[in-house]
Amino acid sequence: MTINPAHVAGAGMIRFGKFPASTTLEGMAAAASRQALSDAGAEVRDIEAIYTGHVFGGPVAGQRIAVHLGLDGRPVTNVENYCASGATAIREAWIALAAGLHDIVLVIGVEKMTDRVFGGVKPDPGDLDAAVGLVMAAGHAMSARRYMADHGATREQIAAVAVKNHAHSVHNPYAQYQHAITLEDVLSARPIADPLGLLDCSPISDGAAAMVLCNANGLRKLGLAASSAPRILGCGLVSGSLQVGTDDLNAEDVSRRAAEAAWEMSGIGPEDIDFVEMHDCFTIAEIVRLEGLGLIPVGQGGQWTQDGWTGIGGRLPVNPSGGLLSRGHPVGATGVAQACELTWQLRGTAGGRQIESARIGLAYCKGGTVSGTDGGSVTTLVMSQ
Amino acid sequence: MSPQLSADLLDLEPFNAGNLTARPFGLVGTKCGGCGYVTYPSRLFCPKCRQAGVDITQVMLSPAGRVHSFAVVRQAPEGTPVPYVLAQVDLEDGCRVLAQCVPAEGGQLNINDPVELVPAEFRSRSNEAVLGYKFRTVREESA
Repeated sequence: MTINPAHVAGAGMIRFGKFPASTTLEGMAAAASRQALSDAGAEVRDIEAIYTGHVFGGPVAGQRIAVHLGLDGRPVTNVENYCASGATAIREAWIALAAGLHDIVLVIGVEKMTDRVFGGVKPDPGDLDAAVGLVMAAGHAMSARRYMADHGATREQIAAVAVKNHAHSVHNPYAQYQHAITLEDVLSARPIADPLGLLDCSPISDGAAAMVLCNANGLRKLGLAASSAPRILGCGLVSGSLQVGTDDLNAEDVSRRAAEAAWEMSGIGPEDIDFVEMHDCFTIAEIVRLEGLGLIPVGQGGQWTQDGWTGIGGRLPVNPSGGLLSRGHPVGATGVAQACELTWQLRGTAGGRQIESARIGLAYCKGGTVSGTDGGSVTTLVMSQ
Repeated sequence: MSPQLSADLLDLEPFNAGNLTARPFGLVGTKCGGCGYVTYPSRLFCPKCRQAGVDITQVMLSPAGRVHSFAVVRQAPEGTPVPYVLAQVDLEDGCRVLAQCVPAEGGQLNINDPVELVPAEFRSRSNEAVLGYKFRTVREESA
């Protein structure tokens, strides 16, 4: 089941951060979109449809943004899959382009969080887990505690994920944090959900990222060569399934299934992946999800991180952008920001964080929780030069 | 918990009717007539065998279980008092339940500790006191 790839004609984003109320959702999204249009050499009139991923943006956020850009009247699809919203918007755009419904579209991921989300994100109040007090950090803290008990991993190995990703984002002008941190910084940070502390958690952020995507017709319309526009080979999407019995909390079956979906639709295998943008909403999540995808042997992710194998220049570079921990995590924007990073890495324009011989990249997002399952939504985006 | 407080709690409406009863106090799940798998909360299908047309019956779950993992939550969205302990508990019936967990007499919780289900006060979405549940550790019987 392989459908035609989409091409990234242009990518753009604003630096993620914590902005005042005057920096609006619509304004951030429009700024990122103008950069993507400029990068593609495209005009507003070239855009046929808009796909917008967001969680807290309110009703018809995509239409509000479109009006800001002078794209009023176009078909707009608003996509909510919690932290995988942006990636799911890319997937919907890819499908429409492959179907020939549109030739050139704009995908936007955006979130304004710092004026409306406080103390962390949690499940919907209608979910059983919310009633017993689940916050996302607690779920990952339970994962970390169990991972250490089962695999002999150390607290330091888990903390090393944050040290590594902050070291990467020193070279990322779009990252919320652009400074290095030490292992001691992570270990001594304010506790959030033991055993995890503040620096094990991605921040609550504002931000936007955008891409102009097109099919082969769109490339011709824009006068672009296929060789200059990285390809979206496929984007897997799976949901968490009800867990049966009392298996390992870190079994990551949802990641395994998302990987299978990606390999099947892209024709790419795990051995072909040169680098990964991984949804490291918490340090431990990067480790168990890489293992679930089959990119690292189960139980070895902590050791790999400690040994530098997931750093730039390592065996499998993960989160050259700094990841969610350091680039920031405006939840609806994250999937599109990951795809922007894949684009820049595949073009060879990632500057000080460039990975050598980056030919094929994978971006993974995981959004939300549903009581009794191993997750809400998971996306696996595969892109190549 | 004093017997008096417990009795007051048991007079409250269960927060998730059909999945929790006050007298006798306990969780209500469903058992599959096909494969025998027990699940919580109650579902109209068996999440294990997924067979169509099998009998699904409601069953009271054992209050006893063991801690699979836990977290000490020290920051939560506004309105949630911290700290508290959240635990994934494996019930004797073979299913896993997430709930807050109170270490006995202020002690330290550990993976694999035996725990039991006890009544707790939850808040409904309209902020009324309702009957909920949590776990607390129990001393293992010495031989």
